[in-house]
Amino acid sequence: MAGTTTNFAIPYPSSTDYVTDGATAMRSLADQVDAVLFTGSSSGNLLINGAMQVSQRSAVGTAVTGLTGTAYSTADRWGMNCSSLGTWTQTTIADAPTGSGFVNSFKMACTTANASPAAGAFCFVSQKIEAQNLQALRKGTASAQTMNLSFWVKSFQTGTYVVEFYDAVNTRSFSKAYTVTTSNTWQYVSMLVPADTTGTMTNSNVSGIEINFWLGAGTTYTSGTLPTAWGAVTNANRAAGQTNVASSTSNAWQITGTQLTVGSIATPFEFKSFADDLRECQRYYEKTYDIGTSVGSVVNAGSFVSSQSTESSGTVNYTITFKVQKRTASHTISFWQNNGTSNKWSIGFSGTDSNVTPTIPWRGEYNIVVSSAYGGCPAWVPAQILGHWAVSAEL
Amino acid sequence: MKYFIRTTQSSFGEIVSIVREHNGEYAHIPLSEENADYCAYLAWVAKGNTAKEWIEE
Repeated sequence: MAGTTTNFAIPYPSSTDYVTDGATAMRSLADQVDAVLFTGSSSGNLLINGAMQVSQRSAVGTAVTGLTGTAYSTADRWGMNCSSLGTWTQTTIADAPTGSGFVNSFKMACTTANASPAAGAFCFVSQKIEAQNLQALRKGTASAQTMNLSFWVKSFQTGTYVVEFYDAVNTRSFSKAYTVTTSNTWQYVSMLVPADTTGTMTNSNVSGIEINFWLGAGTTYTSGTLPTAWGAVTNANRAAGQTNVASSTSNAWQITGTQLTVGSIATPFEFKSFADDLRECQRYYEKTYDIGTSVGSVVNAGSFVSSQSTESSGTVNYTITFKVQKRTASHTISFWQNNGTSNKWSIGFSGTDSNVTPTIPWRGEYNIVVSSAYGGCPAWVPAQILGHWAVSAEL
Repeated sequence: MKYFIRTTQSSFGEIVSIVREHNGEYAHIPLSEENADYCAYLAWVAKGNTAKEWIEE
């Protein structure tokens, strides 16, 4: 027995305690165990790719530069949302706290500074959680549950940082601060998020709660005070006290080991296999290219190939089946030829090799029908289609 | 960031989508408010911008 609590943060009695009411003591212990077993661990991690081990859009170690707006660029499910506040380089980087079990982290490095943000400027990194995955919170009911967010963070700039929990269904939010005490040093943060008995969480595939790690903002978002409970969104309170990471090109912010669980206790991180994390990520983004190969690369490995026939109009139609059901059929699709040319696929027929911009007449959660029409392509002749694709169903 | 409106005919009928070009990468966006990219397009239009008609090469 070491320390003052168990691994699940249940407090040990001190050596000088006397048990004066055994029944009350046992009831208290039972309640705390129940909190862990019933409302804590049972939810698992509500965040996907919390260890940053999946990075389909850009290989680990490959920096994506010149970022200024809203984009998913590196580690799956983690996006940036910035406006008029700095230019950033984003990387899934092989850097994590020693001895933590983590290998990678998500890094935002400022490359063009803005030390005096306009009032409406902002920048944060976020993960949006599907509403239907949040039902264990019992949000908007009398039995609403608390949450606990834990993560490792490293930032060049010390000071106060804000995490915002934004209920996109009911336009409500709660924000809480953490402090980076030592420059460029990994530190563990755990924060309790109060229950919200207002605002029922819809049971669908829309964005439910968005976890926003603020990196800076203008007075529109910082001029108020941090709330102590959930409430209707008040912009001035959303990032009150937030340090401006965009103030200098020396600044960089990293995060890993992110876990959000139902219950009041920070449970140990739920390490998953790479395959499990990848499968969860592919509900939101999938590509033909191998892991570690960026989209648009000049490569044949993974390419879609279909040899079939044109139809009466000279069009070639074919089905692409996804490995994992997508969050929505309203997804966004990009195409590349194997030579890296964007928005084209190769088509071959009757001794002719050319390229064509594909069309998507049918979109489904499990597959799509792609149609390629090339002018002059005759009816009912053998034709081959060749190319890569990437599909995004991100929130 | 550029947007184009692409209308094509196929045996499946007329197909309309928004094509977004960003850093040389093109993405086909459906006309659906369930899609975050389409919502971004609508916000772009709301600022007074107009997508060009896509011309097939």
